[in-house]
Amino acid sequence: MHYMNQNDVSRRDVLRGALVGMAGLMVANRLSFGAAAGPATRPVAAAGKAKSVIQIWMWGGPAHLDTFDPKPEAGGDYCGQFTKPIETNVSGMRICELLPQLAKHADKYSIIRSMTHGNNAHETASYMVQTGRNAGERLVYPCAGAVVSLFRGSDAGYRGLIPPYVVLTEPQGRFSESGFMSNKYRPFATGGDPKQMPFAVEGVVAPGISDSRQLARRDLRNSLDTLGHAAAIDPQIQAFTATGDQAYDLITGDAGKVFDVSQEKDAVRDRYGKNTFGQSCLVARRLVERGVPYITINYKGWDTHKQNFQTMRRQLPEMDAGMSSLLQDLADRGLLDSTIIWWGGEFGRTPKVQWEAPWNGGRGHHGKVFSAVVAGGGFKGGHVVGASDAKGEEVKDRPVYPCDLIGSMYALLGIDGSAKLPNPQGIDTRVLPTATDGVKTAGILKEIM
Amino acid sequence: MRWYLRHLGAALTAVVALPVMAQQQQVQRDPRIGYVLPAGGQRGTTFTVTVGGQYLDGTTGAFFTGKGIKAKVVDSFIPTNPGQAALLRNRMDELRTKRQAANGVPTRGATTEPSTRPVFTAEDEKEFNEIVKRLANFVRKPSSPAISESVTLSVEIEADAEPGEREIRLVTPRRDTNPMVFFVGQLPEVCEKPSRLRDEPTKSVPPDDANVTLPTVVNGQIMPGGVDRYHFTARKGQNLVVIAKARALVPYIADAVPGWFQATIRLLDKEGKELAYDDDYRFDPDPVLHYVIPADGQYLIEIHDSIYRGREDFVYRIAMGELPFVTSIFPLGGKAGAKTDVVLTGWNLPDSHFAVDGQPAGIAHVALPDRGLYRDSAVFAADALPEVMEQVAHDSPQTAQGIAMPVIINGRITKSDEVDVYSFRGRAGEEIVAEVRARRLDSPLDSVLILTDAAGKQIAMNDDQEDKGAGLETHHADSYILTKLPADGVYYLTLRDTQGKGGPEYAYRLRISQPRPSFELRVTPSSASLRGWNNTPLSAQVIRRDGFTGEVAVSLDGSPGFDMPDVRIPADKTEAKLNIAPRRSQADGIYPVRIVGRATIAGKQVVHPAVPAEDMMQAFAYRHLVPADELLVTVARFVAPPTRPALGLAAARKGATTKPSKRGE
Repeated sequence: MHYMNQNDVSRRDVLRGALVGMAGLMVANRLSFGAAAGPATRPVAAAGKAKSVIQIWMWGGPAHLDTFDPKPEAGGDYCGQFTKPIETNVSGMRICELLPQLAKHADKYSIIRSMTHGNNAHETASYMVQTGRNAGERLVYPCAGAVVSLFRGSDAGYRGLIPPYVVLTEPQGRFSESGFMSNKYRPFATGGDPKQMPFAVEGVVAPGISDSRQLARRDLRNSLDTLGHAAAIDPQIQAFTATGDQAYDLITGDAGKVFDVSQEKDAVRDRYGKNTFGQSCLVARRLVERGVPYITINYKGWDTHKQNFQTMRRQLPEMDAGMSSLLQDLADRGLLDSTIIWWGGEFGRTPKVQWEAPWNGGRGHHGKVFSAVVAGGGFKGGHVVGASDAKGEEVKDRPVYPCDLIGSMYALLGIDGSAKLPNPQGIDTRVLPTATDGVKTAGILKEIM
Repeated sequence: MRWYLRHLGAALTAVVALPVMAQQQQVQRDPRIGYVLPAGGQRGTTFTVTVGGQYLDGTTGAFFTGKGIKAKVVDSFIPTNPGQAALLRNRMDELRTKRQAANGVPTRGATTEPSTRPVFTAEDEKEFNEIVKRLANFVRKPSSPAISESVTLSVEIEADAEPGEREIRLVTPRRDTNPMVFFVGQLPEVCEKPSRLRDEPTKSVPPDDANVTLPTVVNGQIMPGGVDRYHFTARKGQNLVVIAKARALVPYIADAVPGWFQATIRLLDKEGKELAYDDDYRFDPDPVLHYVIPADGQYLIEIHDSIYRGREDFVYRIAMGELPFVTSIFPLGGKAGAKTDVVLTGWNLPDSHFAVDGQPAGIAHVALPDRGLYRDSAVFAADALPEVMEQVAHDSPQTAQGIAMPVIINGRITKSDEVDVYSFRGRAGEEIVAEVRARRLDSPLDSVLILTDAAGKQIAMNDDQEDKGAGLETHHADSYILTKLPADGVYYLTLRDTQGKGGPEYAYRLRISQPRPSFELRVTPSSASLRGWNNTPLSAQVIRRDGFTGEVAVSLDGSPGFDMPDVRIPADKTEAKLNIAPRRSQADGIYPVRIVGRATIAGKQVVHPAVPAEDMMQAFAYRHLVPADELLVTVARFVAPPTRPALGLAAARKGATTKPSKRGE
């Protein structure tokens, strides 16, 4: 419905004419359609075992000694209060005593104890781990999620209404984004909190607004959209409208119900843990069931400069419940083989406990060696890759650099590491770094693939 | 009780406690201080000082270096933590019930027969009131636990105490704390109340205003969002100098970025117009203002953090008035043992020349003329090598100033982009050192040194060189070259400012000589608590100079009453742990201990005293060795671990289901 009068007609003509040139400027920033520079090579969805990735991002850098690389033999100044790590259901593999549930699933995951990049700054290290690239160079590369969104998202035939790259719940910002690639590959951060009812997903679920009211609002908005109607024939506007329709389908249709955790039995919700992380794991499982290719759970609170042991005691049981439930459920549903789980943060934490003031029992940043855990999607479980030294301070065996871990994931996903990334300046940029890029690599994780 | 039985009991406790201690030793409960407010006072006065830190319970007094200051403990504030608060509330309920029962108020399950009523004694009353007071101190989660406790002292400075910088430590029965600076001044001082005792909340505090009379020193503490203002009357033509000390008081904070209170000061007129502003004084984060007052009237000085942060340890001292302030000296040093005439530049100075008495080789802090107002000191470098002054116009190889090694050149980069070139003859295979001392002597110069041969080919170059011995420097701007000359011939050494700056204050001392291998020794920390053997509380660190690779033997110097096995720091190492213990005859108490390092260099034995230091962390990452005046060791064999006053905690524990907190037991 729109209003026609003499003025509108002439304005419409002007607009129509101007739009072709303006559309790129006006629309591109808000919604990109990859029009500027489509991927130079768009691989057909290659047959890779893995179809989805759930990244559990341990924001702040989790202490490797207090999680997956315990060192009780190094003495109290290193292991602190956690002196009795537990055996897992894989003989010879032991983890922190505060992770008994995960200990029962060690056959599903493998621990990498020799992650290294040597950087101790949150932002720099986050960038390095999430992109596999060196920081501070000319280009800002996309993180793994954006790359997977490129090769497994709509450009590759993904037709789901849920965006292909979802972040639960807070985005980390520029360290886990699309870099020089277009905004189309940025993550969709849900916002809200899955432990609240309802889980208020940004732009999708608004508490207190029924579906019919949403649709009525859409109709009202359409009726006011004179530009949309004036320039309805413009291809950019058509695409814009189509996307808008898709968004509403997501909001009002079934697809958006993936975020509705009340659909799960209470017993299941309890098993994951009625906390933000636990419920995020549950939502992640539901997203994988719907075929979403990349999900990041941003798990905050691991930057334990002070109160390291108190914080571990409070948070590790929460992590244990959520992560083990996720592994169990995916395995039960036959989804573990096609879903990669990647647990890790930007670095580890100083093995020598900082007993002195003002830390009074904390751990600082430690990028020289730290741990990561991978499961599913073609990764073998029950293995330990690499080792740190007796105190957990340096790499002892088989360093694993960020690009090695990411490269392994891409291989399992069937993403060609030498494929080009679309670059708006036309620079030759590839999925994985090569020797000439000056990025350290020790080879992908063939040991567990 | 027989003395040995008394000690036996304690000794047995100590023996029994040892294995438990060994485990719990992990959670260090060493008393430590984080700020002092005010960090000084006027001589001839008595005033209150708040010292903040952690594990300060049981503080018995304070130590000051130098003469003429004494203090006594007046009060303490130990915030009650949630565990203790829960126990205290339980106990308070018990006492309240008891009081009600004693007054005949019928309570559930309790009889009201007078003969069976409990008696609420005076002690019960006292305990109840103590609990009320301690619950009032309940802080659920102090913003920075390491500085949440405080001790209040009454400090008296004698009228003839030497003005200048001292150190203060708190003393507890088990050990003394780390030191912090404390100034003896000559001007009247004011000090704002510590934030805990102020009425306003800690968030977005309105500016604190005070009226003062110049000249004066004001002391305060900036909490988050805090702005402090000092109003004063000034006369036209007055040469106002405002010197703020913030980083000087707390040089490194481990859990804050950049690692100190980044103070900024403004001078405003009574209309609120800003007349002057300073953030850093050259490279020093502490601001200094100089302004000629334009007209009689009211003015104000305002201080706040550069981005309005605040914390208990953001304390400051600002001296204001027509105070003498030296902005630069030249030369920056002189020949050891010889009197040196130094030219002073600055504001409100009595004289532009100053004679420095002969100093032993090394770095000295020379007191500057203070006109009875404000005492400052200059860093002065004395060396045994021959000294020359820079000649004019030597900014190219053609006009280079020829020198003969070994020598120390006193020069200046007098204007922007100036280049100073020196030439000397060298032999093939000869090792030479070119070392700039400028920033370490408070010069703003950011030197860069380039060594070239006669053909202009660069042999060596250096911009910044870290000196672990300069613990308060964060920009190690002084250049250093140690290199072997490739051939016989003439060599050119070019010195300039990396940033292209210059001016009369951009002074330097440039040493060109053969290597003088040497070492410095630091011992950390500067306080220790000793109960017997089996502890290695101290660590020695060697700073090797001019390529010294020899072994350093570390031993006690004097200090009867203590034993320390000699420790050798071998050529490839820089540190070692020191195991020191009191002799049986040494009574409990606090003692200064001296440690020296010995090495053989070029066939001669060289002895250097170890400089006590604190190994401080800055901004989560960097570490610095900050020197202290003395190493003080507390012998505390028969002192029980710190306890909180009982306050019914024992009784509460009987019935409490909450786990008692570890502290205070």
